Amino acid sequence: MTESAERQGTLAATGQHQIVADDHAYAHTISTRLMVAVYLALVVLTVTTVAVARVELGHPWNFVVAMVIASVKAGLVVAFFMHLVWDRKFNLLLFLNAILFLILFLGLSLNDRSEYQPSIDAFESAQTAAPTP
Amino acid sequence: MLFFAGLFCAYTIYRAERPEVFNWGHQFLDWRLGGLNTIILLTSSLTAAWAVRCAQLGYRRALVINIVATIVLAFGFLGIKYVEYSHKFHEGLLPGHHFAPSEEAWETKSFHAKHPLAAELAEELNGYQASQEKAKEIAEAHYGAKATEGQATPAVPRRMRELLRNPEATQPLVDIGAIRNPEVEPQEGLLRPKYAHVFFSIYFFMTGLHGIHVIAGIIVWLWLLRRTIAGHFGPKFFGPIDFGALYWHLVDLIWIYLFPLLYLVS
Repeated sequence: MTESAERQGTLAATGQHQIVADDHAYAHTISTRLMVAVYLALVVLTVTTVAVARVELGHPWNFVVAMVIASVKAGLVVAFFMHLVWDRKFNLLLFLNAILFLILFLGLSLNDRSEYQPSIDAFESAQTAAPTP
Repeated sequence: MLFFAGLFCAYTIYRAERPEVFNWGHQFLDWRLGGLNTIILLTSSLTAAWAVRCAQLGYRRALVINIVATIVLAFGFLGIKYVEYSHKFHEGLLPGHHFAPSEEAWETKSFHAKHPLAAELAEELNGYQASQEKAKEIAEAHYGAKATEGQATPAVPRRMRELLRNPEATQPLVDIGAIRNPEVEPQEGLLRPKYAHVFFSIYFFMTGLHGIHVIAGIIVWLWLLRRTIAGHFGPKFFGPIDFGALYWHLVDLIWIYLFPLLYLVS
């Protein structure tokens, strides 16, 4: 029996079927099987990220792999637990927009920070050269 | 998201600037407790999503069970966090001015387990420094304050020489900022990175703000539980459960990133 059919049945039984006609787009009922599958995938990914952290992959790669795994986990939570896949596409657009601005924010801050590197180096060497009493 | 973005930004800049501080600091965090908390939070996200389903389908009893499970798991998360925090308080691993660790990174169990040779070299270096100071005292007693460097330099043990030539022993110490470069001189002592306390400032602010969100989530779930028992929710009206769950998933999302960023640095 499909999910919506199951739901229709329940609603019919409780005499509340009049509201289901148009709410599918805004309220999708997730199946138990999918929910548990997503959960198991999240647990497996957590174990994977711990296991990978114990292997030396060379400078940036441990970090990159950890972030990719975290992002896949975040994607699973957002898509299924937060039912974004069944929502209006506009919500997805908003979500991606927020990520874009986060990346811009971090990128610009890092860039700005490295611009100031010479003055920070000068400050630190001045401090070590003449330590304050 | 914006709230945490500032902290993630602070993290990114400090990590780019001083990676050794993060290598140093994470030796003090127990990935087992962090990992357990990750699983607990993921499970609570499952029960939260399940609660939404139950509300939509009008399964009231199951809805109550799922909300209670979510609250219990949230308390479990905070319990483990409490254990972690009290360990840090005990060991003087506090942010800013209060930072006074009772143990150095190379003395921790996790460092010993991961880099046995480097931990051995650290002990040798410390022992050598102690014997050097003793030799200096003796020399000063003999020759007065004018004792020269040469008179106060004891012989370097053979084992220590071997370790100094082994990159497997030196590199991990360079990574945590304990020595400046692999060609360390025997008489140089071990250092703690200058900005080591910043790691714990970042750690406490990020996990603390996250913890506050967990507490807020518990309050929301308790409120939802009361309304569920009062019979407010059903297939016709489940918005608050849905929004509560959305918030809860967001708390989970933040932790999904915090866990590898703080506990799994390498």
